[in-house]
Amino acid sequence: MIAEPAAPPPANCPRRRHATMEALASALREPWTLLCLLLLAGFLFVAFFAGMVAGDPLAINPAQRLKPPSAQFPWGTDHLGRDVFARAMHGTRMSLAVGASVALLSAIPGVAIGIFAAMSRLGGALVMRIIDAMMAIPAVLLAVALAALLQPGLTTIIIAITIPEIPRMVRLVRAVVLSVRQQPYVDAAIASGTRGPTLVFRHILPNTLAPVIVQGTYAAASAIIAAALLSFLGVGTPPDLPNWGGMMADARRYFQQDPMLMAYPGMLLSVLVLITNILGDRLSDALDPRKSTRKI
Amino acid sequence: MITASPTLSVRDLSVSFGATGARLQALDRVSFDVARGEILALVGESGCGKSVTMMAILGLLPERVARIEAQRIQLGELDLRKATPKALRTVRGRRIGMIFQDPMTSLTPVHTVGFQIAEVMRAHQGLSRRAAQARALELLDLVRIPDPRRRLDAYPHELSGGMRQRVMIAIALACAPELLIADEPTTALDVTVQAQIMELIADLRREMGMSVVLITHDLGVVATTADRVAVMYAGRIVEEAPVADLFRNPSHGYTAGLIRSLPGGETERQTRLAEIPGNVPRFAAPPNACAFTERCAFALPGCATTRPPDEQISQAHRCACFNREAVAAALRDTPFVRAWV
Repeated sequence: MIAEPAAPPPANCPRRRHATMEALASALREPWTLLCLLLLAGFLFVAFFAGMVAGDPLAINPAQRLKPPSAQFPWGTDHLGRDVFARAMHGTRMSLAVGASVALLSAIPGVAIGIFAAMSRLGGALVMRIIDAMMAIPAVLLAVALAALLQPGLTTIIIAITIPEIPRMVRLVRAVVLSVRQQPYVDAAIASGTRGPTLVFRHILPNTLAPVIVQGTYAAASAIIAAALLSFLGVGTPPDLPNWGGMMADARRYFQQDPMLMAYPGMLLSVLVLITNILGDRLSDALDPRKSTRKI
Repeated sequence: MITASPTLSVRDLSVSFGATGARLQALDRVSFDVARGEILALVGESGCGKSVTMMAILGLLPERVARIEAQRIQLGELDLRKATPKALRTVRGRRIGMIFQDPMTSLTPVHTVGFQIAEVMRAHQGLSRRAAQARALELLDLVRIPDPRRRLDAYPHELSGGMRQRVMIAIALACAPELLIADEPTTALDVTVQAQIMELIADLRREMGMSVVLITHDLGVVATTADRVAVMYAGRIVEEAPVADLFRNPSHGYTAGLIRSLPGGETERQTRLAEIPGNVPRFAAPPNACAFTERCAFALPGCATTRPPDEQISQAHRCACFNREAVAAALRDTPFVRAWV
């Protein structure tokens, strides 16, 4: 048996805070990250409380068509006399809902299928051929086709964007797992008797997550754009769901009278996508223990 | 050498890789014993089969490409040839601990070292998280890591190479294994740390009474730590002896080459280091020849056509060489050998 330690370590030595929390806290101290987080919080607040910040986005007022900004309509009115500010604020809901759902819904099956494809030889080859076939179809075309096949609505849009997003996630996860599996620490874990499932969940999966999170945020950003694109094309969105893509599609016809009609939703879209991408990068840095700034 | 009840006993272990027809013979009838509490050094240059031997014993070679044949692979009373995958898993980590060459990459980067040490004990001994953490603390202390309580929560990248190797040793020793396999444990470390780590392994062997297989190509390490040496070349053990016997009376052409290539004493300071000409054969030597013939300074005409049999020189010293008297005589004057006589 192992000998007793000669002298027990001092008991008053403080344990350090949990590393992930500490890394997140240090990320918060960066001004850019903080700004992005505040903006995202703003978007979230608006999405949840759009009814309180702004008026009715659906009320049609033909007498007040294409009016410039005023006290009643801060961003003016559109071609049906609807409140542009209210529509833009309510449109935040759909963008955020689509972005978050697509990121989550493509990551979960993407990680599961990706790990399977990397760990199983025969099954992996089969899965990857199916994935290749899916990637051969242009994503937007597939999304348009799916959206046209299903009932219009938010769920349809999410499904239509998620399905073309999954193959990308699968390929990424498979590639990362294949390289992680070759790492000496995986051999070392096997040599110390680690069982298959433990090996996957404790040694392979955690080392795969950082790129998955980054890919997830990119998926969220591109899903927000894809949703706007589908709405712009008039596929999948019901007319009573205010959204930025639809607003821009409507504004296109009145671009010469009032270019700001297109600029408001366009700017919101750009800012939301930008901060999503920036936060994705920061998050992946914060979650990687090697990149944290702590010293012992 | 056969002792009363060796910890590990291997007889005629052969491993070949690749498809039928173009098989590469990686190990050719390797036999050795590791006695209880003994440090056996497996010595040889890269590609001679040192690591493959240990991987085969642990059942870590990929089944699809590796064909393993053996008369006996016996760990205590357990026949490892017939062990089920489940039984092998309980052997790995619990009865055989393993230390890898590169401590920089052999620890999972996303978990603290305390977690990784505890993991082994939780898997094999069913300890609770708390009990395993407490034991992990003891182990860090055992491998002489200063301020172990703080290091428990450190991630591998926060530790130096020597510290990480100590953590690897702590993991290998977590379940008090009867056999420790150290696969070039000091190659990735600098010289002063090397000495500390080797000293630690030797000390722990004494404290815990375990056997050690030390895989290395460093004869200096062998000379200071090992009890017995097996010299490997191209998948065969060409010479095996207690350390003192081997260095006092080196009898194989390859052992001679290794010893000659060591830096000499003061007299030879100005001269270029001796080297063994040529490279390790890419493919296994023909079955009826000495694998070292082409590079051997002592080769006889018969060496290329007949495989020299293992011969017992003394009770514990065996060697497969036709020209061993000439080898021993030629090396008697090298400073390294003189130091042992």
